[in-house]
Formats: sequence, structure tokens, C-alpha cells
Amino acid sequence: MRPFGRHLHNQIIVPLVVASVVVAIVAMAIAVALVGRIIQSWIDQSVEAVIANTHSRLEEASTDLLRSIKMAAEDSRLVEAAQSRDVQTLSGILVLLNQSIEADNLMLLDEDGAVIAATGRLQLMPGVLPLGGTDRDWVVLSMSHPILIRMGQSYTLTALEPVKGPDGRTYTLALSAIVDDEFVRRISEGSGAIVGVYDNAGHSVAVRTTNTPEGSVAAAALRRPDPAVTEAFAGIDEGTTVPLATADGTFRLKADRISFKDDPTGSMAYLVAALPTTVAEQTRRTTTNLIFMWSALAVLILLGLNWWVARRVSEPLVQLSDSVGRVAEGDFTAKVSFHGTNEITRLADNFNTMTDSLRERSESLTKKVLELATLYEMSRALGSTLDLETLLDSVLDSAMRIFNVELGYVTLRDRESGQLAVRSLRGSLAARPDEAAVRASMSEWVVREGRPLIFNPPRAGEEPNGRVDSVSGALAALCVPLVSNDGTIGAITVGSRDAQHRFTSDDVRLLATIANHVTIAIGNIELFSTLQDAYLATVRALAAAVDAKDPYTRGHSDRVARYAVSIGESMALAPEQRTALEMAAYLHDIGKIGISEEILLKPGKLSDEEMGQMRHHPLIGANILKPIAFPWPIAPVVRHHHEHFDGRGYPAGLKGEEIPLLARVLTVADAYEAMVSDRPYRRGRSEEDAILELRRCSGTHFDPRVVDAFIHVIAESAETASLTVTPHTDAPGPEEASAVFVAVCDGMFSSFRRLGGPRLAANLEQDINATFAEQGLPYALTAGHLVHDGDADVSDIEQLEQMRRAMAAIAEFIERTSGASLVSHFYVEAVEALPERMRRQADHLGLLH
Amino acid sequence: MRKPGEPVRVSGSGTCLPLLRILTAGYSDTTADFVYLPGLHSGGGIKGVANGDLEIGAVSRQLTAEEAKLGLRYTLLSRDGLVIATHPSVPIEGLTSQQVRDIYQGKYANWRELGGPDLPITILDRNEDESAKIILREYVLGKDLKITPKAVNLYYEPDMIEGLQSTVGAIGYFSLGYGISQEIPVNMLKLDGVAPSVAAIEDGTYKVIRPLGVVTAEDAGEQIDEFLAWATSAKAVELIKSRGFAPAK
Repeated sequence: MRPFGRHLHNQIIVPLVVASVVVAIVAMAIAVALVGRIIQSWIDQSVEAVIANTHSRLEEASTDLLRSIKMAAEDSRLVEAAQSRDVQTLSGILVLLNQSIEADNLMLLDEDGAVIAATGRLQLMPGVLPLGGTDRDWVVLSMSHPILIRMGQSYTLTALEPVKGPDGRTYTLALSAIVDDEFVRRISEGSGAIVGVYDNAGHSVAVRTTNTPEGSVAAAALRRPDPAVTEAFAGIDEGTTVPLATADGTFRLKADRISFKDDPTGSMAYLVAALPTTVAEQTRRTTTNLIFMWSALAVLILLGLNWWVARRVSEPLVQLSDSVGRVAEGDFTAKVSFHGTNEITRLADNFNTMTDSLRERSESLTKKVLELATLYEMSRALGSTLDLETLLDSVLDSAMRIFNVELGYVTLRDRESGQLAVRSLRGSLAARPDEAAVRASMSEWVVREGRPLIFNPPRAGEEPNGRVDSVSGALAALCVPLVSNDGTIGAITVGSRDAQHRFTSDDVRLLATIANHVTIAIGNIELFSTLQDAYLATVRALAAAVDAKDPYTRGHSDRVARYAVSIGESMALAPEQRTALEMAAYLHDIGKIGISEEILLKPGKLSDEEMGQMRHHPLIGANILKPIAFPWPIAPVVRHHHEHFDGRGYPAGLKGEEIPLLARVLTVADAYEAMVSDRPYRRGRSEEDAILELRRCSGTHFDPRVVDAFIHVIAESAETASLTVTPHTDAPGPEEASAVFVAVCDGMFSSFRRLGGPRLAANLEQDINATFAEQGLPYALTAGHLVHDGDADVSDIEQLEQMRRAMAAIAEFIERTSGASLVSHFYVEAVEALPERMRRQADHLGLLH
Repeated sequence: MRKPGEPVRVSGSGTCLPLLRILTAGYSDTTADFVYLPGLHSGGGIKGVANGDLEIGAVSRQLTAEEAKLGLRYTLLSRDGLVIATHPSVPIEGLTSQQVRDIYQGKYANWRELGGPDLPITILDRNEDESAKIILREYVLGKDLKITPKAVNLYYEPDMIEGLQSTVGAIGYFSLGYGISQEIPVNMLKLDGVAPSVAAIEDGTYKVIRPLGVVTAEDAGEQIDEFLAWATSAKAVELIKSRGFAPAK
């Protein structure tokens, strides 16, 4: 787990979140401050509007007043009454006029400013001076505008108009509107503000309130008046608005002067408007809350959006990173897939293309490495054997492994006949293809043309061509010629029964490489064989030289060589050991060249000294052969061919296993030949005597194993000889049949052991013995040999039946462990290993169906 | 004609309407919706009911012979005293009928001549066809008294009351019931030593009275019949008495 901040996801989100929170906070702060200012200025403007509105209403009231007084002053009844100066009439006229004007007060003043008559709420007595004394010379003027003036207890807005009196006197008609709460209400109607009017001394005259509790509180404050009002008066010139805080809320106050143009009295009053900030405060709070809420919401949405975007970016990267990690660990199947079409998807596509190409390259590299490894292994195998069949088998196995196919064979042209023959075949059902199949096979064409040939089965949807290789039965096959300096010597073919298999030109190249190696290896083997033949000829010439020196033993070396080789075969010696044995046998008496002819040719018994000299011949022979660089260790064999198994021989007195094996074999062959051949001084003994002598000296003079092998060989050759003379048409006797059966079974077992190993062979032995016991068959397997332990009094037919059942049981077991094809293969191998006569008898018996 | 559910239109004599307002306000039946149209004087009220423009016409005088022929139903609700009063600046106790006649004849110019303050007498009067003037002539002024041109005729009773209140030295006359019920701040005068009051009207000592009643159509409908029945009931009488109106005997 990496730390929080190291994830790309978080590295994207955190700065964005921080940024959006900061932006939100700044925006909120600005918005809130702005809203506060807007609302304050809104209230201030509203207050101003109230003031302006009130002013204009006051103006309207003044105009109305002026109009009314002009109308009244021109009333004919009043003018007439004024002329008569009858107080009663004037008073009545005023009552009448005021009915229509509906003013608060209407009065007529004489030249001194004293009341002549009056009607209205001021209740003025005649004779009083409501406007002051006689010094008010402006009283009689016609005024274009009403004035604000205190009359008695009331503060009035009064309009004056001159009326002509009797004797040229001028009276003054005064029409007043009393500035009371009702008046203020009228001039500030509909504003929602608390409005107060103050006289020039700043005393409250009238206040208009609103019908709200806070309105009453503010009205009370205005009436007092509150210091805030005084403050507002002070701020008139600056046009400031001052706050008024009461227990029930806050207000904004603004004051203004009321003064009229051309007012001769210079009367002045003050107007104060107060607006509650409650609604504004609420608006501000609500707006602020809304801004907060929206900011929080916006931050949340941004957070979600950021998260989503970051996921969109980081998740593919995490996937890609994981996949790259897997690729780094060698898993080329790693894929990433995203939806959509953007840079990340393109990256994913490119990544997938890259891994695909990496995988292909890796696979092809792996294939190449495998090919190289196999080729290397093959070239080692090529160098390590001089046996053609082994070589071809191993090459075919390797080739089949490289191409991953199950069929393969090599054909070689026979030098003498010029015919192609299958020399090695792997994986084919048919044990041995016949000549016709070989002639029809693709290798025939390849060898003729000297060019490679591929055939692949038709793909799905293609016309089936029905081509099958006649030798292997392959549906897909590849055949390349084996071309040496002398021309095409054969062909190597690999194939598959899988209809999906395809060979490519790469495969041709590879098989051609293998073919080159094989050709070289075959050339080597041939060269070696030629060399060996040359050696053999040389050795034979040397042997002939010895024979020439001792005419009595003429042909001795040849015969010894023949016996030795047959013993070697019987003991299953390796081919090169057999060759070494043959060479040693030809040359074993070459040391006699160094023995004087008197001793050598002396008839009769030799003296001790002569015998001593005679005993030098193995050493002399070994010394003669030592300088010759034979490919095989021949000199030691020659040196020790007179050693005895019990250590009493010469020249070294070696004992048992100390004596080279080939020398031990040679000793037996030499002794036997000496015994059975005629000498000038004696006749040869019979074979039986010789065998008896061999048996007698087995373990002392001779190696018992070698003796046994040799006796076996002699017995076989005797049979062969007898079979040769007797016609092979007759059926084998019971003993012979049994021997053939045992030999075939032994052969099959040994093949099985070679293939399956000793453990599997032991298991097989156990299982088969159990089955034999179960079926009452008179056979038992011990150490890979079949032993017949039944009584002899069964008829031939019964015996044959027993053998067939036993064979069937064996075949079944082998089939179960190794497959059906191997059973026949083993059988054929076992039969082929038999001598000619026994092979025919085996065919005759028909043991395996 | 009015249909049921429509409002009951009321208008007529300005003197009588305050009484009707008292009665309709005291009427407990809320289904009837009384609508007061602007005052039309007694004659207008009678014509309105005759034309079908009103349901109730307020009348503050007796019906003329011609009006009686219209076939309307007249219901007397109260007898209202006509009170003669002065502006409070004239604190005299009372006047005799002769003094009143002299004032309206223009024989006095100043209250000082009548033992009052030194104030000119402002004479407020009504038109001759007004019920108040008719009653005043009937009981005080006499038929042929010539009114001084110094007097001003006021068209409506409220104008008269307003003038009395706002003009120093004024004299006039108006409804006693209205004056009592609205507590008009004027100086109500004893006439020939008799103070105007509901009791004085009831016992017959205060003579200057006018009948306050309503005219309705004969087939005005159940709702109006019920209202009139209530308006003449004892309970309604108690109500109007408490407001300064004397009951209709």
C-alpha cells in the first residue's frame, strides 16, 4: 500500500478539491460582502425614494392648498361679504366655502393680521393674531407657495391669499392644512416607511407609523426624538443614512429639509424617513445561506466530478501498470481493454499490439531456442554414434520433437541396387512398408528431383485432395533430400496425421539443416566403415603372413575369428567390441613371427625352454601391434589371450575379471579351434570332446560365462546345420516349438525392458506370472526368461494352445502398458532376431494373431 | 325587484340613516346584508323605494299626500328631537323660542346682546325643504318667519354639525339622536327652558321632534318584514333609546 499522496488518483483529486474549496470560499466571501453592500444601498435608496416621494406629495398638497385658496378668494360671495365687512356674513360664507374646500382651517385676517372670521379645527377667536404681530408685512402679499407655520398649538401648512376689503383695505384669506400624523400619513402613503416631520428647532411635529410593532417602536423613537434623528439632521448635507437600533429591530434613517422656494418667511422644517432593515436582513441572510448552500453543493459536485475524472484517468493507468508488470514478469497474455475512443484507449490498443508482438517474438524465440537446443543435442548424437540405425533413429526423434509431429522416416538409396529403402521409421503403424509403398512415397520424388517437397492437408472449405504419404500415412508431410557430394543419397520425411497441421517454408529450411547434418554424419559413418574395412584387410593380410609361416595352423586365425565373433554376438557385445574382438582374433598369434621356425614347426612335444620361448608370442604380438594406432584396444587382447581364469596363465598371470573380456573370449575360441583342428602330429578331437574339455576347464582355464556362451553358439550352429539339411516344410516338434516360443518371449521381454526400464519390466513379470498361475499355464518368468515348468504329457495341440494363450496374455500386458503398436513391433523384432530355421518355425506356429 | 340573497339597499334621509345604522348593526340576523347608499333626503328615499332602486328608504318627516298615494308601507321607528346648539365658545344655557326666531331674523349680531360672550353670531341654517327646517318652522320659527340673509344654508346635516363644531360663535340645529350617539362637542341649548333629552321627548315636554321611519314596498319580502318587526320590538326600542333616539311612542 503506497502512501495516500502517491496515488495518481489522489494527486489529481486533492489539488482540484483544494482549488475548488478555495474558489468557493473566496466566491462566497465576495458574494456575501457584495450582497451586504447591495442590500444596504438598496435600503438607502429606498429611504431616499421615500424622502423624495414624500417631498413630492408635500408639493402636491401645497399645490392643492394654493389652488383651493385661489378659488375661495375669488368666490363672489366672499368678495361681496368682505366689502360689506359684515362679520356674521363673512363667517357664514367661510363655513360655506370650507364645506367645499374641506380644509383644516379657513380664516380671514384683517390688515393687522387679526382674525375677522374663522372656521376649522384651529378654533380661532376673532381678533387673535395667529401669524404674529403687525410686523408681518408679508401677510398681505400674494404668495406663490404655502408656508410652514405654527399657529396656536398646531403646526400648519398655510396658504395666504389677499382679498379686497372695504375702503381699499386688503384682507388676507388663510387656508391651512394642519401638519399632524394624518397629514404625514397622507404625504407618505404607501412607502412602508416611518416618516416624521420636525420643525426648524428639530422638535417632532408629526410622525406617521406603520401598523407593525417595530413600526410603533421606530415611531416612538422618531417622536422622542432619538439621538439617531439628530445625527441624521447633521448628515443631511452629506446625504448620509444613519442606523437606528431599537429593541425590535434596526432601521436606516435619512433626514432632509423641507423648505419652499420664494418663501418670504424662510420657514423650514425637517423630514425624516426610517425604513426597517428586517426584510433586507432576512433577504441578506437568505441570500447568504443560499450562496453557502450552493457553494457547498458546487464543491460536492466538483468533488464527485473530480473523483470520477480521476478514476477515469487513473484506473486505466493502474490496469496498464499491472499489465506492464505482468509483461515484465514474462506473461505476454496480459491484455487491457477500455471502452470509448480516447488517448487511453489508443494506448491500451497499442499496448495490446505490443504484447501480441512481444508474445509472437517470444514464442518464435522460444521455438528457435528449442530448435537450436535440439539441433545441438542432435549434433552431439550425430557425433557420438557410428551406427547408422541408431543415428537415424535419434535424428528422427529430434526432428519430430522440433516439428511437434508424430511421424518420421528416412529413406536411403542402396549403393548397389540403386533402390530406395526405408532405413528408419518412427511412429508409423506399419512395421515395414513394402517396396511399392516406398516407390510411391514422396521421398522417391524428392530423391529423384533433389528438391524438398511439402504437402499440407486442404484447409477447411478447400477441395479435399486425398493426399496421404504412402509410407507413414501422414496427411501433412515435409520431405527434404539428403544431398552429399556424390549426389542425393536419400531423404528425410516428417509428417503428421493431424489434418490441421501445416508445414511452412521455415520448416523446410530447418529440416534441410538437419538433413545436411545427417548427410555429413552418414558420410562419416561410411568413411569409418571404409576405414574399418581397410583395417580388416590389413589385419587379414598380417594374419595371412603368420599363417604362411606355420602352414600347419593355416586358417587357424580365420576360424578363431569366426568363433570369437559368434561368441561376441551371443554375449551381445557392442559392435565396436565385436570388431575389436575380430581384429584381435585375426592377429592373436602374430607374435609367432618372432618365434624361430624350429620351435614353431617342431613336431612333437616341446622342451621347457622351447615352451618358454613359445610363451613369448603374446608379448611379442602385443609389441608388434603397439605402434599401430588401431581404433580399438587390440594389443591388450593379444597380450593376454593366454591368461587363465584362475590366474595360472601367461604372460602376466592375470585372474578373473582382471583379464580383458575380449582376451577371455579369445582364449576360449583359440583353445577350441586348437582342440578340434588337425595337426600334423595329431588328429583333431571331436566337437563333443572339445566341448567336454571346455566344460571341464570352465572356471579354471576359461571364463564360465564365455564357455556357456560358446556352447550355446555351437549348439545353435549345429541346429542351423541340421535345419539346413532337413527340409523346413515339416512342423517343429514339441521341444522345438517350446524353444521357439521361449526365444520369442525372451526377445519381446528384452525389447520391453529396453524401452520400459527394469522397474516396469519387473512389474510386467509379476503381473504375467499371476495371470499364468490363474490360467493354469505351465510357464513362469524369472529374470526376463520364460521357463517351461509343466509336465511333458500334453499333446502337441494342447501345448500350442497353451503357448498361444500365454502369448496373448503377454501381448495384452504389453499393449496395456505400451500400446498396441508396440506389441507387434516387439514380436517382429523378437522373431527377426531368431536364426533362419526358428524364424520360419515361429511363422509356422502363428503365436500372435 | 330584489332577489333573495342580494343585499338590502338602504338610503334616504341623512337624519334617519344614523338610526338605521344603529338598528342594522344591532340586528342579529347576519343573513341580511344591508348596504348604505349615499344620502338622498327623505323624498329621494321614498322615490327610490317606489322605483324599486331601494329596499328601505329612510324618511325623517311625515309623508306628503302625494307620497302616501304611492302605496308604500311606512313604519315609524323613532321620534328624533331637533336640538338647537351653539359652538362651545358660546356657553349660554338656553334660548327661548322668541330668541331663536330673533336670531334667525337677524335681530342679534353679537352674542353679547343675548348675555353671551363678545362674539359675532354666525347663523347656520338649512334649506326650506329639509325636514329639520320644516320641523323647526313648525315648532319654533313659525311658517312665515323671514330668515336673515346673513344666515348660510347648509345642504347636509353633517355639514351643519361640522360648521357648528368648527366655527366660533356659530348657532345651528340638528338631530338630537345623532348629537347624543356621536357625542358631538357642541353646546346643546334648552329651548324655552326644556333641555333636549330622550326623556323629555317621551314625556312630551320637548316638543321639537320629527318622526324617523322607513318606507318599504308592500311586498318587500320576508327578510325585510322580519327586520322591521325586530326594529319595532322592545329590544330595538331599548337600543335606540340608549343612543339618544326616542322610541315611536
